[in-house]
Formats: sequence, C-alpha cells, structure tokens
Amino acid sequence: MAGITQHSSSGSTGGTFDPLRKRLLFPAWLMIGFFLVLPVLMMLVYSFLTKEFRGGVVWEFSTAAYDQFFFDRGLFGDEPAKIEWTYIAIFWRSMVQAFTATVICLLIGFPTAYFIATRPDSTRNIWLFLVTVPYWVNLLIRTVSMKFLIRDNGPLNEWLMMVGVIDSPIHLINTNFAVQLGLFYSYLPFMVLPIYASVERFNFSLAEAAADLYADKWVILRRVILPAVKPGIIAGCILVFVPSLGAFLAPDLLGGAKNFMIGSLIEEQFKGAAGNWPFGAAASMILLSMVLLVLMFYARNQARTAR
Amino acid sequence: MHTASKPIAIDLANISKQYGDVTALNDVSASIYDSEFFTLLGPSGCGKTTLLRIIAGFESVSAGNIQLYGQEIRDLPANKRPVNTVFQQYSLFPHMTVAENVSFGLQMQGRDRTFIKQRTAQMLELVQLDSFADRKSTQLSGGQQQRVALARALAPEPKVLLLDEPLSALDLKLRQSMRMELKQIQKQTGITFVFVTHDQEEALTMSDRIAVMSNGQIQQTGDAHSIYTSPGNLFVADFIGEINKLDATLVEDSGNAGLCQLGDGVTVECSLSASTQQSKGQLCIRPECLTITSIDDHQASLRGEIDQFVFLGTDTQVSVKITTGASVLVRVQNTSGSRLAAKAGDHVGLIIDPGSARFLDY
Repeated sequence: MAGITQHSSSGSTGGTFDPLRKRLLFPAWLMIGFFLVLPVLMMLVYSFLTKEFRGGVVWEFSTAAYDQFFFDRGLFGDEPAKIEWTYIAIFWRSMVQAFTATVICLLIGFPTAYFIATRPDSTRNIWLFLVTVPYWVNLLIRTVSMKFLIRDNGPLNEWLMMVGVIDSPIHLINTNFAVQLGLFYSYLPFMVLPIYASVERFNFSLAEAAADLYADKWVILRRVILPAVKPGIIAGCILVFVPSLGAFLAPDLLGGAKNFMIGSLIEEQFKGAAGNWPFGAAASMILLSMVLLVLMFYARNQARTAR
Repeated sequence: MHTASKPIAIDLANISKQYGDVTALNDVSASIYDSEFFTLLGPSGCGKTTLLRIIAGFESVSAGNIQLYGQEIRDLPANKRPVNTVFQQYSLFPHMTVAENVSFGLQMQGRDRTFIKQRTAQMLELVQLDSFADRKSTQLSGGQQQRVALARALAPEPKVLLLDEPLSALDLKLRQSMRMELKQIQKQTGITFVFVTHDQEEALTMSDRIAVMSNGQIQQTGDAHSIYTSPGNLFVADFIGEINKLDATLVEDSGNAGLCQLGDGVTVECSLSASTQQSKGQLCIRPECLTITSIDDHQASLRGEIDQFVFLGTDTQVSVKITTGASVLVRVQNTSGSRLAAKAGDHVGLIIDPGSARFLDY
C-alpha cells in the first residue's frame, strides 16, 4: 500500500562505490540525462535567448520571453509595465480545465475500476481489454471523430432529436463542454488502470471486518477502502492532470479559439514563421514548474502518511 | 446435558448452504449455549468456516433459520448483527493504529468519546498491549496482531464472539500459550465463543463442547471427553486422536453394549453408539487402552506377535500383529528407568481396558 514511497526510499541504499553497480546503472543515467535533463536544460537556455523572426533563436541573453509572459509594456514596449493577464488567464483556464477533467475522470474512473477489480478472474481481463481498446487508435483520429460525433448536425444531436429529448441541435462544438469531453475521453484509462491495480490488491476481508464491526457500506468505502487505494487514486489523478494541463489536441480541435489552453499556446510558438521559440520555452518552463509544484505537494503528502 | 438449563445463545435450525451444485452445509442444526466455549471442528472443506460466516452474516443461507438469543437474524446484514469476528488473517486495518483498530467498532456503535477511550484502554490491557496503542497495526508481530484482533472484536461487547481459526497462523509455542489465554479471556468476559478449528488438540483443550463436522454435516456434538471416549461414528473416531480399527461383525446387541466378532472368530465385548444400525463395522480401540501381557494371560482378548517399537518420549508405541492379520498399535507409558521387557518377535496377549472397545458400523 505504501508501495510508491517504499520504492523511493530503497533507491539510495547499498554500496555507492561498487563499480559494477555504477556500470549497470549507466544506461539508466544515460536515458535520464539524454531524454530528461538535456531537453529541460535546452528549454531553460532557449527561454533566455532572443527570438529570431522566422522561428529559431539568436544566441543572445534576454529575459524578454518571461517579460512578455507576465508584463504588458504597450505595443512598442515603452509604456510602464502592467501585469499581462492574457497568458495568466490561459494558464488559469488550463488549470481549471485539467482539474475538472481530473475530477470527472475520478468520479467515473473509480467506480469503473472498482467494478472491474471486483469481477471474477474470468471476466476481469475482458473488461480491462474493453477499457484500453480505444487507445489502439491514434489520439488525433479519436479527437477528430469526437468532433464529428458532437457537431451540430452530427449523430449525437440527430439521435437526441430523434428520441425527442431536444427540438433543435444543441451547440456542443467549440465549448468548454467539448474540451472536457475530449480530455475525459483521452485520459480516462490513466485513471482507471492505477485505481484498478490498487483495488485489485485490496484485501476485501478488511471490508468484511469493518462490516462485522457495524460499519455500513459508505463508512467501509470511506474509512477502509479509500485509504487503502489512495496511492492508486493519487497516481491516477497525476496521470490525468499532468497531460490534461498540457493537452493541445482536444482544446484545439474541440474547443476552438475561445477555449485556448497552454498546450496550444506552446504549440503555436514552435509552428511556422509566427512562432516565438524563447516565449514557447518560457511558457513550457512555467508549465513545468507548476506540474512540479503539484508533484511535490503529492510527495510531501505521501511522505507524511507513510511516516 | 449439563448445560441444558442455560439459555440458548445461537440456535441453528436446518441450515443448508449451496454454492451452485456444491453443497457446503447440509441440514445442520445445533444449539450453542450462553457463555459457552463452543468449537466447530473438522477437516478443511467440511463447512465449518461457512457455518461461522453464516452466523456472522457474511454468507446467506440456502435454507434454515438462525436465532440469536431468540431473535431471528437470518435476514439481518452483518453490520446489524451483535456478533463480532476474529479473522484467521486478523484483517486489521493497516492504515490505523492499534487503538484506532480497537475503537473502530465502538465508533460505529456511536458510543461517546470518553467511553470509547476508556473501553479501548481496558481492552488493550486485557490483551496486554496497553503500551502499543499508538503503533501502526502493521508494525506488530503475528501474535500481537492476533491480540489486537481479539481486543477489537471484544471491544463492542458482542453477544457472541466468532473465531475463525485464529491461532493457525501462529507458531507452535505461541499457539499453545494463546490457547490458555483465550480460554482465560472467555471465562473472564463470560461471552459465548464460537471457535472454528481443524486442530483437534486445540478443540479438546479449550472447548466446553465440540461439534465435529465433515461433509457439510455435524457428525457429533459433545464435550471433549465424550467425543474422545465415545465417538458416535467412524469419522469421529478416526478424526479425533489415534485409534485402532479392526473389521468386526456385531453378534450381540443389548442397547448400548454388545459383543462383536473379529475376523478369526475372537469375540470382544464392546460399547455401541446410539446410531448403530448395521452389524458390519469396525471395532475401535484407543492405543492407550491396550495393555501388553503374556500370551497365556486369560484376561487377554487379543493375541499376536510384536512387530516393532517406536520411542516417542513420554510413550513408546508398540505395533502388534494380531491373529486376524491386522496390525494394532499399543501405547505404553515410559516410566522412569523402566524399559519394556518385551521385544520384537515376542508372542504376547493384549488386554483391552473395560468399556474402552467400541463398535461402530459402516
């Protein structure tokens, strides 16, 4: 149950000077260095460079990107600095969207995971298969399909009108709802799978013990099952929140210009001549810091519960 | 019998439990008396745990009724039954401290804070874990976890305490000391204990009464002594302790005693179980009820040749090949200094203690 923290604490044990150990760890260090540390460093460096007009950078130190993100100095940059709300608003909206998507995924993902984990062994894998099978199709294609499903004269509206729930098509595309739907659909399995794994490990005789001690179903869920599967829930929330925060496909294709999110903002900076690499890098760095803050909060929380 | 005047705590009437085609319990009836240490004893798969889980409310019955102090509880869910369970694997809540575990049931009952605190401390004292109140339950040894489980189940003052093989996960020494402790706590609290075990020694040492189960049925109910000395059928005779079984035919039947004939024509006086119906069966004699004597001793009912000796510490086990061709085990207590005079190959007689031979039909 305290699996995650146990792993992190066992990492630093053993002989540090063991040369074989060092050699065996080399590929791992190489991976981390090459695919994690180096790109982040590059991003950091680029965010402090000067932009070149047709994309790319000039190797000249500048804080212009961060300045542009946070401050408004007028069209020609000569007015007194005011706080620039545009990007902060986009970030805030993205946070809210990602948070909402996470909550929705949790509310639907937990019962789903619980349902699957409590099926008999023979049918459990079929349910898991059904949850993951849409993910064999490319995310872009799925998101575009979603767009067709929910457009004004799309199948969803036609069906609703046929059944008689609505008289005229409801406008779904380019709304917040559509973005939520897209995010939910994209990331639901990332919620279901970790929760499934922890519910599946849950010792249900504990639920019996609680019932034996006069606890009703809700108390059992709240006081016995939820604490035991908490690591799975937190892992699921992180796995949904983080990519939702940086998502650009769903907001782009389903949300339209009004529902612009960080992902799209960053994507645009690296696309074509209108791009601004330092600004994109700076926005990425700010996004990264936000994600790290969330993760640190989680790690602190974990360390406290595991003591 | 001696408990007949006590009120009945649990009355099981014609309980049956079916899992698809499999019958786990077949028409089981039993009465468990107030403040009694009652044991369900049987091999694995005999239905004893199922019966316990039915009493707890974790399993429904396919047929039959359960009364708890006169109240029908068959349709009452587990969390509404005033019984508590000590589980085989303890099932302590891993994210809670020892004290939180023990107070859980009291909280669910909605007791007030001061009472909960007081009662929890009292229970931890009872199981000698007062200094462990703030430990996480996962930081305790098996024996300590066992005690917490016991304290947790006793804290809400259940009318009946159900114990599902609570000692099976402990090592031998701990198991033996916990037996005495459990019995002690049962006497002290006066709560009715229903104890499930496959360990006959555990059952014999702790119980006021034992129900021996097999194949989803209760084979015999009685106190340890009567079950050991007067088994009701061949299963019980075989399951409890060691016993010699010789093919025999009942030739004379006078109620609870009779005469049976062994393969080579030798006849032996025997007691009979009330359920005896057929004349074909087996003569059952406990190894400690046989005494080795000289071959021409007229008191000897059986005769044969000593096959081998096995030294067991307090006893020596002698196997004797008797005239019917069967092999009989004899237990001889090792007294200080003395050694058995007989040796392998000797022809000897065997005296059966009066009243200890029992005929049980197939």
